[in-house]
Amino acid sequence: MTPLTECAFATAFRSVAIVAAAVLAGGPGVRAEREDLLVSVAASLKGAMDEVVERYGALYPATEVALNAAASGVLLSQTEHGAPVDLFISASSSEIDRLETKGLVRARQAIASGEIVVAVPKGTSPPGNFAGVADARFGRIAVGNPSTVPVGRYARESLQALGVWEILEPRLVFAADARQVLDWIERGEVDAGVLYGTDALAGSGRVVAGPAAPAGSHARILYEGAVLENSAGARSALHLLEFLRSEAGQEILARRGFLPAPR
Amino acid sequence: MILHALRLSLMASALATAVVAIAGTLTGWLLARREFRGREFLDALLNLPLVLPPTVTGYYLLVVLGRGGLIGSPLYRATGWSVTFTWAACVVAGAVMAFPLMVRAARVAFEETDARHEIAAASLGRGWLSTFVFVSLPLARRGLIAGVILSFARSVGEFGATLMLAGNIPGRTQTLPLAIYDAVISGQDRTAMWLAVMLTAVSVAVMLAAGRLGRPGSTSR
Repeated sequence: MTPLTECAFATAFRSVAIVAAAVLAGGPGVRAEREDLLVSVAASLKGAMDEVVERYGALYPATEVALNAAASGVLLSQTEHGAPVDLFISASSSEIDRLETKGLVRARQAIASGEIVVAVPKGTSPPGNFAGVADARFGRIAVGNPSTVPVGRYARESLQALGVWEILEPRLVFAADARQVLDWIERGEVDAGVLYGTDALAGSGRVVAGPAAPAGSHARILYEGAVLENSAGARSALHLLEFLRSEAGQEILARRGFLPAPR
Repeated sequence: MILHALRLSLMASALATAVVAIAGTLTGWLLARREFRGREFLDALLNLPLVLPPTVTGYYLLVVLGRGGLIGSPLYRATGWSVTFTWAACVVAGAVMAFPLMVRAARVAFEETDARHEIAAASLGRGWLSTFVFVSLPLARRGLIAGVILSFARSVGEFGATLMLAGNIPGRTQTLPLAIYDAVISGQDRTAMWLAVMLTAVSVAVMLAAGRLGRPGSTSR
């Protein structure tokens, strides 16, 4: 064996041994009386949920809550294929509907509702009402892609109901997700955009939020939580879901621009 | 959490690379040296993770390895254990994404060495394994090392497939790329920035070290 291969093999063997040892040492420890809950949470709710979990942990230290954050569609796939999730918090009802038809939902509840607003770059002024985004001074307008992104679907629905979608169409640019709309407005790439009220709030200081779409002009934006059928800690999961609907939970969500859950 | 993400990234990538280095070298050698039916089809199949969006590869992994999956279901019934949402899923995702790179590098490396060396060794009484270890491997080592480096790099940066199979659970399955994503969606732009700088620094350090290892004449011969 040449010195090189010898050395390479020795190094390889050593690193495998080190890794194996570290993995074994860092494996799951002895579980005390704590209960672990795994909560899958839609990306748009991650910031709010971090805060909720912190508050919840201070009140109920026996429950250890871990968050798994991704786009709702990814979370749906994971859950459908047996990922060990206790509570699923989605940015829309459709994912929960689908899980329910598959018999995977034990209990479901709305935790918040939302709205879409027009926002414009800092230093410019928003239109007086939602349909005013059709004004000629807004040359390029960002919306989510209506065929793939819920925020785009809501925008199209509302602008169609208000009768300005056709006028706007040649001026629209389609974004891949809600955050991209915010990003484009922030950078001044577009003159206006339609996005969630929560995103507009998160970008406040860099964008100016204008009026919201009139109630009833689009399908209701609902954030829902579901305790899953194969959850090992269903009782605690339900307790956390109730906490989200409680005054304390709703207060945290409201501060981030979410509207109250329908009672 | 951040240290955990860093450690998990490095450990999962090292483990994935170790697996891929062995399996990929053997597969590459097979593709380079053996004629068999469906060879090119196998090659195309193995290259799929390079072509497909990582999220799609992750979706396949979820379908196959999830609790209800082709492999996942019998495994779960037998052991009560499933790979989804465990650190092992980070290793699996990284390995699957890196595997085609290793196979490709190994195949080219073996194809560029003269098969007559192996035949000569065999004719002098060396067995297959002995020929492989003492003749084929040393001759192809530069290409193989390059493959190992690429594989490690690919799995450190792995995001899409890992997100699907391992989830994004801080302190458990969250690797460094996932931690960056998590910070971005949580609106923690500053944290995201620092993590990105950290990932860049780690990557550059690994590449520099690896480059030294792979350079011709840098090690004795």
